[in-house]
Amino acid sequence: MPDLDILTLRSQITNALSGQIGNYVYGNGSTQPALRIESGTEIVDDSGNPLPAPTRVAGLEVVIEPYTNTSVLLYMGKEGGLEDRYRITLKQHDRTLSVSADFTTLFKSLVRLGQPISAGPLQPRTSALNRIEQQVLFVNYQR
Amino acid sequence: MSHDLGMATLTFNSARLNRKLSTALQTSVEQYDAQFRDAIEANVYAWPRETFRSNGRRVTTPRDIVDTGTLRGSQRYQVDGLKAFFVWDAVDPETGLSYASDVFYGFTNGSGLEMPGRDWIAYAFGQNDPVETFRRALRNA
Repeated sequence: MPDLDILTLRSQITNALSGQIGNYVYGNGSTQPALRIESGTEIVDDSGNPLPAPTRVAGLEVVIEPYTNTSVLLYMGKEGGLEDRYRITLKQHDRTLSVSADFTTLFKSLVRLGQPISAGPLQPRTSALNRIEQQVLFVNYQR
Repeated sequence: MSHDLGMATLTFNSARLNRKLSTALQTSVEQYDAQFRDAIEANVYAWPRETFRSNGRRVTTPRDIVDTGTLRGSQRYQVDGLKAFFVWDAVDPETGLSYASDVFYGFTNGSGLEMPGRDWIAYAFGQNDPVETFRRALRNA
């Protein structure tokens, strides 16, 4: 299983979902594409700068989390590398839209990277839990 | 079943091999039945806020996944030939909705509040590698 750096992954996601990604909307009315990389408590933009908390999210949001399942690979009793997993969550903040078609598009695009991919179930919108519709997919890689 | 390898003929008893594999799988699954419950009870899951459990207990971070115990109690498994399935199908009595996937994957609510996922399966596998568990069970089958 090859390595997969986060910029390659991010670029693949941005291209696959071109025109579909929503916006983070800030207090002063400015917007940014609703795609973020989240590791621990720090949330950064494309350039690695801390991203302020938006006042709201409009449309489809993409969250990429690296290092979500780190394990050490052992070959013949010796350390052979690190295996890890990106977690990518699609969240649809617009209650009139679904993540379903975007998820399928993204899944097909990421398969082309040649990494092992798996997906969680579509978690539907519910008023009972006040939950927005979302779905998770996992991309494994070696680092 | 046998394979002719030129000078030598390799013969193996596939029925016996399948019996050993089945026994090892059953042993491994029983072990994981206990380990998944232990993982749900483990005090290792990060949570961004202080909350109160249904019994009034205040919990911070890290925390376990046990509140009412319904999720843990819903765990069951099925062995089908050389495949095994674990199922968690707890239903919230207030909403009537199955909620295991919400705990496992986490979710965002309509107010933007994040409920982090808590992957008890990865935690259990991190404690005991499944391939090694099966290998050990096969050796003893």
